[in-house]
Amino acid sequence: MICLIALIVFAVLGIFSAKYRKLTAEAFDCVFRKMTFRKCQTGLDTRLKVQLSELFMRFNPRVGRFVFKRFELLSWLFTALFVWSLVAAGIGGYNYWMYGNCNGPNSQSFCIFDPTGQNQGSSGLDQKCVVPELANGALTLEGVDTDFFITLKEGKDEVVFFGCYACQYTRKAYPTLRKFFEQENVTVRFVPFPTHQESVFITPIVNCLGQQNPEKVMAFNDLLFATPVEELNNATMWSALSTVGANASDVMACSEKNSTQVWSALQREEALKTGIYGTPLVFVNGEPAVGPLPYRVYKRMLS
Amino acid sequence: MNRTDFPAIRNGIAYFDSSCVSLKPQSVIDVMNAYYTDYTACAGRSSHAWGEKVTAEMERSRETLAKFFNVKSQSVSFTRNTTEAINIVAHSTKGCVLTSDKEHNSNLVPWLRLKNQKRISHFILPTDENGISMDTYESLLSKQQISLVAVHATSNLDGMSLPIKEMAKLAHKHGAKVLVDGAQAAGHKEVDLKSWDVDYFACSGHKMLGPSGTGLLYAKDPDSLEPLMLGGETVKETWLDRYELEDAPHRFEAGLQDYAGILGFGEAARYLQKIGLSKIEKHCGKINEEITQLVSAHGMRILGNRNSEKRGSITSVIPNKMKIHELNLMLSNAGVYTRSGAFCVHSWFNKHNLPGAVRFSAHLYNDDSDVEKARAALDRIKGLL
Ligand SMILES: Cc1ncc(COP(=O)(O)O)c(C=O)c1O
Repeated sequence: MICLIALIVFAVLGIFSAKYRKLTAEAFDCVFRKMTFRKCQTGLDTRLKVQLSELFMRFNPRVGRFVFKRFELLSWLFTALFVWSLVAAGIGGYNYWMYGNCNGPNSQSFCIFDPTGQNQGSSGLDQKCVVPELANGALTLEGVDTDFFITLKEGKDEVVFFGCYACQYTRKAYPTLRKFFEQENVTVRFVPFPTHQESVFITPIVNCLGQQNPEKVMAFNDLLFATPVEELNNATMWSALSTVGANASDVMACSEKNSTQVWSALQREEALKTGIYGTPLVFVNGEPAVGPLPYRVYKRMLS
Repeated sequence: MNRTDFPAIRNGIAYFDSSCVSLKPQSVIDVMNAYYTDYTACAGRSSHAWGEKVTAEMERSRETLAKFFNVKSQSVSFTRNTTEAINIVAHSTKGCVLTSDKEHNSNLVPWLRLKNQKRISHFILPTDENGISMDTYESLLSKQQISLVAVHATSNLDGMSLPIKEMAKLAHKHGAKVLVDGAQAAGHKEVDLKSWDVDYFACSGHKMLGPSGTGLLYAKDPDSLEPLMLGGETVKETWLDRYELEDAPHRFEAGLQDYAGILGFGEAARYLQKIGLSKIEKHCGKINEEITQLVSAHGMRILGNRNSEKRGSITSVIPNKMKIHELNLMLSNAGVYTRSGAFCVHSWFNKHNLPGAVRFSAHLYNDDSDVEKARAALDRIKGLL
């Protein structure tokens, strides 16, 4: 068993040093028993067993003796662990490719391929959350009334985008998503979902714009996501609305109406039915993806 | 004993693999170096000062070794090792050959080949931890009409020696000749070939403090043997259709020889003689007794007789739990160099269905510090053995 591990380890080290290439060949022979074993030759497995046991013996004689006595068992264990970690690494690699994350769709756990966690970040469960009680839900669109969502574009595949204007991760994801919305044949429905206090006031404004000029919401979003968070205020709204060619005073007046507030609250309730716990959350054909992910991940979810 | 003469163990290694190859004293190394640095030349053919010096030194080595074994120098030919010497004898052998069941491959395989070629019949003399039965031996000699008895003087497997003098006497009584594989006896004890009265004797310089790749063949009657190899130095004269063989011992020394080695071999014999073979035998016996006590205390199985006096300077052991190569490596890592495996006596291990053994083989340079090192190494792995 130890030879199998040795074969893999030496094969890797052999890339850098000729010494290990020789050992790799020996380990290969040991694994596949090509070598007709001679009585007077000390096999690689014996050498490794003795060297490793001695190593432990130097540090603690009892541990060394235990390693020597149970070497076969230990090498089986290590081989199993080794194979398991190889499989796990393979799965991790696959997940990273498929979901932009080694741990499967929408995991928040550490991923070696994404050590800074760029692809997994989503705000929602931190102190800045508007709804701290949000928990991990099974993300789904089933039973959710999409009439509350703003349709930005019509196409073949169905994309629903929950974003928060003040959330750094939504901001990070936005350029990729924007490209995705533009380049692919998709219907895009947008739901303003503030996870940060600074953007709560924008929800009724964008909802009003959505009701009055839905075709202008995409351009409005472009402007808002490009505006620094600290500059997200009423004045910026006025100017953004004017820039996209909307009637700013109508939209602003609408946003202050009680009915708009009620509508926005219902919209949020509907959004919560998805199990949302953070932004950005994107559904592509019903399949959820949390956090800023690579383009290929969104594209893979298309039909 | 004279440990400081051996530069290889200045670093404190406990070298217990002398049955494979012994260490060389500085004087042997110096003699070899002198050949390479001062007078590198051919012997027996170049009439310049260097050539003459090499010729003279080579013959001096021959004389030294002849004296060492108490025989005439014309009967001593240089070979590369024991194996070559035995093969020279085998090359000229017909009839029925008797070997023991504990021979080194060098003294088994040549006979097996001749047997397969149907040039000889091969018989086996059984051995046990008490040696051989002289009755069985004599009955084989007479019943099988043995023409050659080819046996070891001392076994490299367990260090046990055969009663060569008595065996030779009986063999001659039954009209058989005797070839002795003296690889493990030479340099360890007094070997008086005149007194043993054997017909052929083979040994290796590298097991008796000499350089690697040196050996000799003693033939009481060299004319009874055909050279194994022919070429330069083996002939007096050649014509396009015939040749006239050189006299012994040169006829067995084909081609340019390992002069440095031969000179070193002679020096090794002088070195051994100066110390005295009986002193060496006693010293090695003492070390072997200490090793025997040590391995017995750890409950390991000893091959051959339990009494160390019967095992010269060799103790081969089989641990109870640990594998032989594991033990060997553990010892090696502790600076105690032994050998594990079948020691080229596979046939014996196969017969007894054993995997091999770990061998401690001592020589004059081993001392109590080596035994202590071995003791410490074994104590460390107590319980695993
Ligand atoms: C008893 C015996 N015979 C023959 C040999 C072969 O010697 P060489 O390899 O020098 O020819 C050995 C070597 O270990 C030996 O121990």
